[in-house]
Amino acid sequence: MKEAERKKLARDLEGIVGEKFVRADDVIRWTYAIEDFAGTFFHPLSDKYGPPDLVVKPHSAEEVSKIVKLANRHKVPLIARGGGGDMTGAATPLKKTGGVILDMTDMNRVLDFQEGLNAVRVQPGIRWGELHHELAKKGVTSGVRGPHGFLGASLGGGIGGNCFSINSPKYGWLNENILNLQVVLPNGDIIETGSLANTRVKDWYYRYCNGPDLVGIFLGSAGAFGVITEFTMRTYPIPEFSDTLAYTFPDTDSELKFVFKLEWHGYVTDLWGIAYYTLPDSIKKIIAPLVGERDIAIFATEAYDRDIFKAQKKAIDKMAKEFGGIALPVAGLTRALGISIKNETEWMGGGTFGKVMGPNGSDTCSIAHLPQWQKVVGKALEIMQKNEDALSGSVPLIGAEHFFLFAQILGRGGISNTFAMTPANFMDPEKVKQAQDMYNEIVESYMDTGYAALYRIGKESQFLMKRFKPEYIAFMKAIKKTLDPNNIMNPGVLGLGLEEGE
Amino acid sequence: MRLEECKQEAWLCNHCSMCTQTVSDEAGFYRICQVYEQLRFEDSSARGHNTIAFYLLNGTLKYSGEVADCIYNCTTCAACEEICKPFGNLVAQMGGTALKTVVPPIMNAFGASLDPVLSVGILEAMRADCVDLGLQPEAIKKIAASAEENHNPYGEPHADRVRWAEGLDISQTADTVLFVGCNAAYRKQEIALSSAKILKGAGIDYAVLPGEWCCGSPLLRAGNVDAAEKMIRHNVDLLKEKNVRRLVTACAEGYMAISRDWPKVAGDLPFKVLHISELVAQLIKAGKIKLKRRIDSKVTYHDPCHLGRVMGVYDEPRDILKAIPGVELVEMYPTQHAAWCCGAGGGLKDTNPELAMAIGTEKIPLIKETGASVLASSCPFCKTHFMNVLGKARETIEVKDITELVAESMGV
Repeated sequence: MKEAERKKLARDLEGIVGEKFVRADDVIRWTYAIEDFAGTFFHPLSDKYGPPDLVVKPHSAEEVSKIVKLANRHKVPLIARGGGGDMTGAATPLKKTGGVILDMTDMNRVLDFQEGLNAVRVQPGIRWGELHHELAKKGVTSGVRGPHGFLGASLGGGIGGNCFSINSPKYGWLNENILNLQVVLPNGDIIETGSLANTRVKDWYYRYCNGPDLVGIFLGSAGAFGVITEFTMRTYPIPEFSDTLAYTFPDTDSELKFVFKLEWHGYVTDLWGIAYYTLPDSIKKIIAPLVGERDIAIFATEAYDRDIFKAQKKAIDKMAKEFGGIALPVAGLTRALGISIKNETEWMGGGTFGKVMGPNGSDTCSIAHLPQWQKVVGKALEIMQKNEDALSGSVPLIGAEHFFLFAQILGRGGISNTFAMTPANFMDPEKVKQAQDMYNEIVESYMDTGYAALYRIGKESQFLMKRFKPEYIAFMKAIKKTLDPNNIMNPGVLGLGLEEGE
Repeated sequence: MRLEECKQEAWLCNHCSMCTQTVSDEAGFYRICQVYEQLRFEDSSARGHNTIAFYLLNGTLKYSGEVADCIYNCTTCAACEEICKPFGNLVAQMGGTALKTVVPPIMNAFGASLDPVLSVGILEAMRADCVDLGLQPEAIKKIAASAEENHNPYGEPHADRVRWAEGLDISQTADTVLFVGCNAAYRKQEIALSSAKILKGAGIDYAVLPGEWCCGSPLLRAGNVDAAEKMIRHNVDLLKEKNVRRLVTACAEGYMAISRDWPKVAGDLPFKVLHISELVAQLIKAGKIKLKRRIDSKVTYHDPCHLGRVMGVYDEPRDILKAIPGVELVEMYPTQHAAWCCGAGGGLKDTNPELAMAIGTEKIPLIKETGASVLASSCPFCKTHFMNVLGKARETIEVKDITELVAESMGV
């Protein structure tokens, strides 16, 4: 964008949100040219990202609406951004298009909570930790607790990016908990979905009651079809009883069968699984003397009633033994040490994972159906072992010099995740390039061996697009063209808004 | 470019946004970066600073007035580093500060690390580059010039450094030295006085050195590395020459600089370094300090960032307050490792006083919520700033340094 044009746009934006909330200097532009480090630098489009022309902070749907109308007049892309923790460019402009970033983090209020509705109405810029804090004051929980390690991430970003979450095995993904939306459409119109489409309804948030489910089209769309300015999500009672349990298993197959059954019965709140054979030597050296060369499943379980909780743990124990499981006394040990854990799923990743994982240890997360996990991991391991020299960085938390793979159950229906760490020495550009190539090869393999779309929603869409059926792509493009004829809403996400071959 | 030395560290930032704005009930955090809370754009958080460092290092951005404006808007309170500690939330809720000291060495033994990204170090390296390029704010230039000329940042004559001690007949030679620091020597002299009275009252043979210079911390935090090193070398030489065995200071800033920064410049120090709260807590336990007089007040304690988060001194000031007859200690929320900065740190009070005041003002409701009539702290900078902030807001809450309360209770 030319300087004169930027200045003019800045003045117009200042007229909408006020001078304090519009920035166009180089410092701010480059600060917003980056999102999650690993994602930004490892995926194939990373060299195609660039800084926004301006950053603006709206405070209401009305302001967003005016900004969208202005962007249409100027034909300038708009990229809504929350905490900026996306890993696929959904919160960063393309270099060739630039655009205006809407920093939504000042739209962060809890708007409505009514006992009996089992739902809370919030603005999308609210961050996970803040939401938990506000809901705890009301004596309830959102169930899902946000992406692992990112309490500073915003809910709006999670909706746009189809965020799985801590506690998803029990409560589903974030978007499974969304009931209702207020959206600013690409033409600037403000709509409300579900029961709120009825002019007589003020505070009842039901999703499926006015014909087709128009909520769904905006979930996971990374801002391609509009800017979400309010939403309602489910709330749940806070479970009174919870424990962290752990079992070891003789092999990965037994562990996976146990995990699958555990989730199927609804006993698990969140879970991490470790497949011994995938671990780096440094970790094997710690684990083997303690529990033998066995796989480990560590997970949280919870209930609202003491008797049910006791019975549930007994059932879990029986289930584990069925697959050769041996209990590790995690809960007993922590209690014996006088350690009280306020939140049994906190260790699953409520704190930061930032330096644990990267950027020298980029993680290629995937979603796979649990029974396919070994197939997915096998392929990833094969790719990594082909060029171990490329993995020249380290994973700080575990002191590992090389990769490791981790299994994690993500949601209902045996959805699993796989972390394949590709730690590169960032001081050595050649090694970085090799690690990037490996990362991409692993992602490609995920796509072919399992089905992995988890972190591929933003501008990494080429992984998806070449596998989508043509009729599906045509349908998506038709929706985009109808809603957003000027192609201003986050061009590039989901492969939409790009010319052929881009 | 001094930032080159932090390249590896800068690469380690995952830009996860925890340091920008996080609330964690489990770990007691309620929002992190008070500068971000005021300025509301990502470039005013550690994440933003680390991004700027990244683009400076790869040549995309060049140092400029805009860059300097941005990176001098930071109090160096290190809340960003606290929230960045991997699994820090879990460790905090499992065992608080005790576990925090135990777990990292165990992890280190396995070659693993729970260290955070050292965002403040990256920021200070960028500030040092700004100084080298002459881009630092005028206030910072003035501080450096004054340190050079007067050995304090205030433009006060060096000869007046020990004026507060006139008539006290304090020795200039002893195993223990009270390192007064510039703020207590020139601004908050009541802290210097009460510190001296406490030491005397406890029967400690101590000295105050008229040749003491600035500890270097205000210079280091602002990027004036060369000037700081000059101060540090002078002080270390002086203390060595005097055969000092123990250095005590009532300044949180000075305590951090002496303990952490001096050895980087002058090597291992041949004397022990204590914050006065650590010494007083020991002396109370040993029965060498008798707290006789009642102070019937509800007192809340503000953790100075550099004493608490950076140096890990949380318990001693609280132990002291609890030992004073009549004092009811009430905690703010958030507190200790998650405490909000007063707003004066990192040179912000000099470079952007309005912002510093706004940050301090945000803390007033937290203080008032406790119902305390006294706000205690153990840093002269925090005291100064809270007196300004509360005064401007016409609040009647008294601000006291912990040394003043101890001296009062001792009746010295």
